[in-house]
Amino acid sequence: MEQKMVSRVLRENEAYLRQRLEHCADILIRPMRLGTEGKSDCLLVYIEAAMSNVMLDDSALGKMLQYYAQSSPQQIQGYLQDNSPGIADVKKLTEFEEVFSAILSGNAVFFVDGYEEALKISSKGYPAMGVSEVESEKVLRGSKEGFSDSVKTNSALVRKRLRDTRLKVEEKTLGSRSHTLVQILYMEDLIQEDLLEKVQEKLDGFEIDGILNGGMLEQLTEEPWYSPFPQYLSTERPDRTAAEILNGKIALLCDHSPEALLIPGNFSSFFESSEDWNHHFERISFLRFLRYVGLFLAVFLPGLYLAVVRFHTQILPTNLLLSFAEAREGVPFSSLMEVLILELAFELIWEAGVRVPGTLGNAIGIVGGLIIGDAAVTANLVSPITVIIVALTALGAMAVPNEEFASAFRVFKYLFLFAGGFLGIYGIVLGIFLLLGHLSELLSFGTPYLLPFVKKGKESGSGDGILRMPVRKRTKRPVYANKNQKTRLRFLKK
Amino acid sequence: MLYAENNRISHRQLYLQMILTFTSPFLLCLFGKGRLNGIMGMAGCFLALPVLLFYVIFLIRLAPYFDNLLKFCGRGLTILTACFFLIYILFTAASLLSVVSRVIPESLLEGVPEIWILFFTILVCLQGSYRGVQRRGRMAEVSGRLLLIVIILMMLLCLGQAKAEYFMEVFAYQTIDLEAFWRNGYGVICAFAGLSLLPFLLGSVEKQGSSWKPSMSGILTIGAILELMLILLPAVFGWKRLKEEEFPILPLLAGADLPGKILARFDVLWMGFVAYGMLFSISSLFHYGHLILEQLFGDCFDTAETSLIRRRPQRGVWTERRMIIGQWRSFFLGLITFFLTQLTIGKEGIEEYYFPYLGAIFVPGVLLLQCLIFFRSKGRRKQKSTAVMLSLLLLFSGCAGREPEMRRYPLAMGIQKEGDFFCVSYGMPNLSESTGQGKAEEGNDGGVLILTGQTFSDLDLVYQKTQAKYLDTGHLQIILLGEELINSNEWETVFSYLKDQRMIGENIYLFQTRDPSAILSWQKTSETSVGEYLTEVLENTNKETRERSVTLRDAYYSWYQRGELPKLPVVEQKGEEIWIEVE
Repeated sequence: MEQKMVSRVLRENEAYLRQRLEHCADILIRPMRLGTEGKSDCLLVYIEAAMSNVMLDDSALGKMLQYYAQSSPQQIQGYLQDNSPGIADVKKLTEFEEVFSAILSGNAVFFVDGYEEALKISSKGYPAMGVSEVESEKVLRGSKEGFSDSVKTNSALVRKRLRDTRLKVEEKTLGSRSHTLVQILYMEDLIQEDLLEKVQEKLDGFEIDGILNGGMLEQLTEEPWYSPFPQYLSTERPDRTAAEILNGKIALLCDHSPEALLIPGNFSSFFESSEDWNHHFERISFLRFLRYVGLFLAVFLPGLYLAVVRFHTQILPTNLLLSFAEAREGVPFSSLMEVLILELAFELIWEAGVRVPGTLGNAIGIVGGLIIGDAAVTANLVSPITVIIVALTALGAMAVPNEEFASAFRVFKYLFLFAGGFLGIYGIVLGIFLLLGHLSELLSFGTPYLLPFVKKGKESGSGDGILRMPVRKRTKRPVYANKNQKTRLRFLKK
Repeated sequence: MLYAENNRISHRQLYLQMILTFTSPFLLCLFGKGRLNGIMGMAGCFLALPVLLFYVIFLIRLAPYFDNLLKFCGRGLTILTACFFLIYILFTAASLLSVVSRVIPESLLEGVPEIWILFFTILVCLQGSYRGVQRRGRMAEVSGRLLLIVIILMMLLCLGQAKAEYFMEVFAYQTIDLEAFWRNGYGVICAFAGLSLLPFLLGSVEKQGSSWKPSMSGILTIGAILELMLILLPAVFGWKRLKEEEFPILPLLAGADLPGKILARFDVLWMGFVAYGMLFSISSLFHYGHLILEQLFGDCFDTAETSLIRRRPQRGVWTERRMIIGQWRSFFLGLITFFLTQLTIGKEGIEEYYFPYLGAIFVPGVLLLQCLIFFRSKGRRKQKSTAVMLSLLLLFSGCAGREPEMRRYPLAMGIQKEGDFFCVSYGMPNLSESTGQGKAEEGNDGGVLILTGQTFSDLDLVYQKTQAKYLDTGHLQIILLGEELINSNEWETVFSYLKDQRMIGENIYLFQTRDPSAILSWQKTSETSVGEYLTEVLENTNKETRERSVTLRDAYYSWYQRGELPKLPVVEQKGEEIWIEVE
């Protein structure tokens, strides 16, 4: 398509702008006359909410307009030709597509009659939430800063922690209508170049009308697309992002999305919490082990319970079994239906708790968990042991730091529930075989998902196993980092 | 190049794949009735191992030709080789599937029809089997070590049950026999016939030149496991029983206790691990089936240029079309294997006729073909949806699961002979009393259930017709044999019956008494059943008495070995108390 160029005649530019911006009440086109005796016709185009009137008076733009108001038309032309406004972030635009892109990004664009270029004058842009405390990845020890909705602010928060010129920030605009800004952050010498190429290839590999958040971006670039397991590690924390960039990962920041998507995502990284490296290794190793136990419970416990009580009762100590049997006396549903109903009820409570505001959410938890659970047991609708099983399953899922990763396993819980309920331990074994097969074939941008459990060589010292190694022993970077930059820590001899 | 893009597996992954592929089928199928046992078994195994190590070197030298058979061997030999291997793979997969579908319902899932087990196993094993070798390598790396650890743990736990005198019987009953030595050696070589597929895999192994190291380590590790099992099995079961057991690995842990008694029995978990290994073996066979079909037909059935033999597709490239073709191949492989499992020749199923064929046809045939390829090529050296289906089908398969409250759990069993009839009494616990939950429910008030019948089948029938709940004998703690039964020699019938009851553990205690039902009716306190009481008395008594107690496993041993019942502790009621007399 032929590009429409900015004209030397202001009226032509204005007519074209008004035609394209018809029925866009939020975008203001303000004609003005500047220069001594008001002989220079000018036009300022901007989004009303992105550039307030107050700002116009106080900002560099306001001052420029005041200066132009006192200059002759010839002087204004001269200033513009020499780029003398002296404003830091001014860019000359010659094509209208650039003009619209600048306006829609929240900048002001300034046209002067007789001058064949428009001036993009940066402003603070769209209204957005500032830097606030993270909600989903709270820490006891460490920074409280979280990402905001603005991609520029987010990259600045990372840059604040990695003040190195080797930290590169590449930009891409995705979405033919949304023109969403996506930034790719990486440490130039720490990443594998193939990984960066693959990421860029993926981002260029689709056309879409709009990308409205990071989640959409994630789903469009994952392979295979049908896997419920997240292939990106998402975080709301700039310090975690910086730490992972130092590991040799690439971070994707998407505008309007207060999170970073870290590539490659691997199995053990989903078990790491943001503050894991802020505490002593003994305590965190124990906690990490607990998280793995939690995942095991979250996935297998209901299925194993059903397999044992329906098929392999000989496993249980006699007293425990008798207790199970007595507890289920008078319950109208089969144990499978009982567990299923209670699991679904818990999912409902979970979903309702997330959707309603904070305090009310807690109330729902109490009402759902305690009152309904207790009432159901008293009414003999479910047995107390099932309540314990479902509660342990839920606690296990909550112990996994990455909610999206835990959710994927929550889905598989139902597969194991049916497999255990209908085919006993053999069903569970069949399910494990399927699940392991799926996880084994899964790659996150060319890196095996099951890392670090499937390392090819004897790579060690990267600290990404089940247990957290002491900081002073974590001397190497993980396998996906650049091979020439493997050393992370070196002690100097004095 | 990114970490996973070369589509090759490491040496460690190769080693663990070998462990996972071979160990479970070997443990399940190599020992027991008419198979590898005793010192001749050990000697045969020792004979086979060096032969297999040399064979691995030969296979490694052969591997480059298998990368492009057409180029090195010509069209005819390639087709012959591919077809031969394909037949071997299909028959081996079918025989392993047949074993799984027989063993699982018998020992793990009582009541689930074999056909469903077969169906689900095929479905799961085929899933993703057409995918690259890296997938299998990663699966092996994650789970192979775990299986190895479980096997070692299992052996350690079995050590506690092993008896030196049982093991010494091997020397007493088995003589040096050269023919048995050769036969066992050749049997082990035949069992390792799957190694012949190694050249298909070696092209995808990193540092191919030194891949003999993991291959040989794999063979030696499996060999060591086999040798240790050959020692352990007679030491646990005794020689004569071992010779009669069809799958001795299954009841191996039926009499073992975990430290701390966290679980009453854990042989079910052990069977789960064995089942996992079997799944891996079968899916490995399907994987090689795909590789061979790919050699034969290339990756496009859908183009006019399709020739019978096409060059092997580029490694690591998984297009959607290859996936679709892979799924179709899976379907055909599954269908043929299923058909083979159902195929009978005369009255023999695949398990009966396959193993003789393996030794007589497949192994010599494979060797012959590989030698042909080797000599011929010498001069040319330079040159989803299933998930939904699965869930739906599950609904039809699980009719056997029973709720815990719909079962009765006898803790003690008494068997007596009265004339021509067997009189079996079960001591039931009082659930409300023993659990303290106080839910009053009919049929859970403890007491003694007495059944009478001419045979045990009659007794089962009587129980089914008169009782509403399923009889779960998995928690039996003692068996009381009546004196009349013992004197009438009908106890052998009882043992045959008990042997078939897979739920009954082998660590339960046996006693003899004059009137079993009278003893079972006795109650010390309202919370305690006779079963629990007698077990506690035995386990908390002095060492001498404990050593003279007789478990079901000891009784089986004596029965198989000497055809007699060991001297059982006598239980008598004296006034308000029960006495145990141990001679």
